This record gives sequence, structure tokens and C-alpha cells, in this order.
Amino acid sequence: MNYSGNKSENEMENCRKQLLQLQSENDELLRNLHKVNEKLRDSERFKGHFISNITNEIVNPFASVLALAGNIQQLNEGQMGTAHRMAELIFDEAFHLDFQLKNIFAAAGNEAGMDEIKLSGFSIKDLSDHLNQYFSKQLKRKRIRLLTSFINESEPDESLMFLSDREKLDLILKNLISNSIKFSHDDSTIEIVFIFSNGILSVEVSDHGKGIVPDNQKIIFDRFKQLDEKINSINTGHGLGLSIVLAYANLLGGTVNINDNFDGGIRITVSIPESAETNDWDDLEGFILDSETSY
Amino acid sequence: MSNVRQMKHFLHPSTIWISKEQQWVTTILGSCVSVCLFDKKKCIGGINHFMLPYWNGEGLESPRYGNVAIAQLLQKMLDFGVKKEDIVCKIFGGAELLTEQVSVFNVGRRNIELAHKFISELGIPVTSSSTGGKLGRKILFNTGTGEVLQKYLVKNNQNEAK
Repeated sequence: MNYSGNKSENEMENCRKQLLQLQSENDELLRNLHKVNEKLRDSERFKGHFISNITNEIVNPFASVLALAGNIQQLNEGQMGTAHRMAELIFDEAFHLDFQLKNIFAAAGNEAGMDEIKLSGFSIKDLSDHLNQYFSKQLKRKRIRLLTSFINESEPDESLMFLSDREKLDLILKNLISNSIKFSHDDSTIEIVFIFSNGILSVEVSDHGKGIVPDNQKIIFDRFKQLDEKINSINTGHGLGLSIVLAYANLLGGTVNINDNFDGGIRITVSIPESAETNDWDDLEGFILDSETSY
Repeated sequence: MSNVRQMKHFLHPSTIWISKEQQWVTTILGSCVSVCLFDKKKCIGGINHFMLPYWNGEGLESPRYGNVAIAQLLQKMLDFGVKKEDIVCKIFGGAELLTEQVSVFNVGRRNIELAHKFISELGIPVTSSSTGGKLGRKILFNTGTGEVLQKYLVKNNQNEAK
């Protein structure tokens, strides 16, 4: 009798555990459903902004470039100063367009599953110099100092060489720095720290701008998401940058973390493991054909 | 098998690969799932590698998610002139790795369920599958013959499986 009583109690206990697990799964699914509903609402709202966004980000810069180029053609000899100023404006518009288009193509490639990882060994210092050069005009305009430091915990005396997809890491960092410049105050600093430790490169990009409240720290990785969605917002771009940062970091096997900076602003850390050259195609030992030898 | 080195492609997670040529595609699967589609008549094969079952609006709408990855793989096959009724399917992966800390419940099992449900709704027959379990897998898919070779990954290699 006792035995059968224990058995029955055990069965009840198992059923109770299963029920709790199902309830927990159900709660999780409901939470996810709620999130999806919110995103659907966002998506509908975004449709309303789409045309104005495209006009602001693509059509207007092109119109400016064409108009400025036309004006330069009309200049007389001896108006080199004016031509120089107009060329600077063309550069600014073209720079912005180029950056936006790179992001659009990157997002399109990722969404189509067509990303390929092109591995190469490169110097982190060279990459950093390139980034500094790339943003030199924007930094100068807002008098922002880009402070870069390098920590090689694995081989302290060696310069940092890293094996990964340089192009993707480059776009990740350009988006982070571009955002930091956009949201930083004039005369402030942006710090970039490259840390190489145990085969992982972590890049911390910190600014002292207005920061992001914790509730918004996750949704900023959604595509087309801009926290200030007003039509006349001074924030430019399509809201693709951070979604590309996350997608590319994941593609390279890495992660992205966002934290408040200690005195305002945010610190975003991207950690990417060093890629390994895989060349084990000769190693077919241990493979078995699936149950159907052919279709 | 002697020409494995001649035509090869490593399929990264969240990507898709299709080829009209005979080509070996390899990928490493933990809780992720690969769906291999093959057109028996035209001998064109395609494969994806997804990590989570459904895209829920977070990040990009990429083939990182099963519902996106399978729909895109099928569409790309159709773009190659393949007829849906000529396609057959093989499904691999979806292990529950103890080393993986994921926020989603039973992600491997849910990936497998999504793959079977989606493929079944498309009316595509599944001719072979190796899914679930506790071990990661490395597979080789031949896009010209539809063959899939598989081996299980021993535990000290599990951290490379996605």
C-alpha cells in the first residue's frame, strides 16, 4: 500500500513539475507575443515616416550635390575660395550618403543571408588610424577628441594583430563612432579602447552624450529604430546602424553590450573572438552518410 | 569524395548558400538547424543555417531566424527555376547542448519543430533527418547530388558548434 502511495505521490509531483514548466513556457511565449505586437505597431508607424525619411536621407543630399556641382560650373576664374567651400559641402553630403548607402547594402546583404566572412590578418592600430582619419572632419567640426588606447593582455609587448573580417569590423566601429559623434556635445571626448585578451578582441566605445535610458537600451538594436522619431529630428540616418553592429558582431561569433557611461553618455562594447583558419577539408574521417544515400 | 577540396564553401550561421554546380558545403551545428533543399530533376541544392525559430522584430529580419531562413531558401531555389514539386528536404541539427546558455526555452527542439512544421506546410517531403540529442554535428552537403555527410562532435569541440 505504502509503495503504491509513494508511486502515486511521485507521479503527482512529476505532473506538477511538468505543469509548472509548461506554464513557464507559456508565460515566456505570451511575453514574446506581446513584444511582437508592440513591434508590429512600431512597424506600422514607421511606414508613415518612410517617405519623409527617404527624402531627407537620400533625395535631398543628391539634390544638394547636383545643385552645388552646377554652381561650381558657373563660377569664374579667381573664385577658388567659393569653389573650395562648395566642394566641402559636396564632400559632406557625399560622405553622409556614402555612409547611409553602405549601411543599407550591409543590412540588405545580411537580411538576404548573403554575408560572407573574408578573413585576413590586420593591424588594429592601422584600423584605428583609418577610423580617426575617416571621421576627422566631423570630429573637428564639433571639436571632439577621439582618444584611442590599446591593451594587449596576451602579449603586452607586441602590437595588436587580429585575424577576422576587417571590412565588417570596420563598419561595426564606424557605426558606433558615428553615433557617438552624433550624440556627443561639442568640445567633448570619445574614448575607444581596444583590448585583446584570451583570443578575444573587445572594443569599448564611450561617449559623454545624452545617454540612453535602460528601457530603450534593447530596442535601439532594432532596424529603423530611432529614439527620436520626429520628422524634424536633428538625428540623421535610417536607424540601421546598431542593427548592423549587432548582426555583424553575431556573424563574427561575437557579442554587443551596452552600459551607461560613468558620467553620462553610453559605453558600447563589442567583443569578437579571433577567427581560426579552418582548413580541415581533408579530415573526412568519422563522417557517415545520412540514411538516404541520395534523393 | 576526392573532389571535396576542389569546390567548397563554409556556411556561416545566419547565411544561405545555393549552387547550380556540384559543390560541398560544410557547417557546424549545435542547437542551430540546417535545412537542405534539393531539386532532383535539375540537381540544384541549397542549404541554410538558422539559430532561432522565429524573427520577433528584433534586429534585422535575417536568416538567423528559421521562418525567414526557410522562406528565403525556398524563394532562392524558385529563382533558380526550380519547381516546388521537385524539391525534397533534409533537416539536421537542433541539439540541446548543456554548454549553451540561451534565454529561449529548448531552442534546439523549437528549431527542429519550426523546420518540420514549415517544410510540411510547404508540402515538401522530408527524406532524411538527424536532429536533437546532446551532441553538435558537422555536416557536409553536396549541392549537386543532395548527399549529406554527418559526424557528431566530441564534447571538447562543442564550443565551436553554434
